Amino acid sequence: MTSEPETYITPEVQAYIGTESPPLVSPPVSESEIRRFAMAAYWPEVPPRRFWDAEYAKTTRFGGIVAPDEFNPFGWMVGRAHIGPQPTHIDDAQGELEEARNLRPPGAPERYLYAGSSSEYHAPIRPGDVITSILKFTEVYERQGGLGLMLFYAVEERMTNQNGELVRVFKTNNILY
Amino acid sequence: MTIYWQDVEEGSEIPEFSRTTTLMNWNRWASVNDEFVPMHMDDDEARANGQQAAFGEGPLRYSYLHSALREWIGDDGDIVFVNAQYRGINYKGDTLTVSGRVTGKREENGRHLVDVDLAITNQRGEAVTPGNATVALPSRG
Repeated sequence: MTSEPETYITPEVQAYIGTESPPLVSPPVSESEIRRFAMAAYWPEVPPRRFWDAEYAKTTRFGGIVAPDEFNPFGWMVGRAHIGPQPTHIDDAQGELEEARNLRPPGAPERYLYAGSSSEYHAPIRPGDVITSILKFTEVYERQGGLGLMLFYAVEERMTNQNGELVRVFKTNNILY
Repeated sequence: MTIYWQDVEEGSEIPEFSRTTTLMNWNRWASVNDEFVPMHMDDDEARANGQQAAFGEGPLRYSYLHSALREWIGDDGDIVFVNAQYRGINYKGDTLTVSGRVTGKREENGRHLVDVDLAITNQRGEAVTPGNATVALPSRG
């Protein structure tokens, strides 16, 4: 085992603040994706009708189906067209995608904890929307803890839709130790 | 039923939202998110990584916070902000209950906002996911 450094926040890590991922662009969101997400999120109880009943959703102020606020339009992204050439194997492609969006600070320890998250919600996601996500490495600090020197960092994701409207700002707080 | 901003009182509780979670919940969540993490699906993999057994996904708990808010505010309210911290581990069979208390009301840019402290507590009384949220509600008149 190598000895622990005095700090993980090297000039290289400082310079990493502000680094952005390449944009990830979703395929058009479908009604079925929204329905399945809502069913999984609420399982075993039936989710609110505005997520799956088009006739009912028309009668709401949304005028049609909307996705749950926390809906993830980026599952099963292997058929994407926007990062690199088209893949042949799902596992490889998923790894490549995660690598492109993995904003871990350089030289940091390997063990990871997902500490928390926050979301600001703006325009709702509707069927047909194409969502673009860009991640940004925004903050880093460290503390001595029970597990040794721990590196805390924050990543901010901005999602926009095909009209350029802001959909969501999602921040994650992460720990490496 | 529509909940109006004027009808919400500071200090009041929101209705509880509860789920008893097993692989049936976690695997469905993994499937719609394409998030097949071995530690969330297999006890041996979880033990190899220092946990007692397979455990539930943090983002599913985050979703439960949203569902609790939606069950409360209905179709006419909007979730504006949700913050959560992942503390305890969610093991198989745990009953997770979301509770919330109104901490403040304010008007901002023409929106009628309500701030809420949230907590997910398991059947052992452990607060596994403290959080807070802001919702926007319709206003009477």
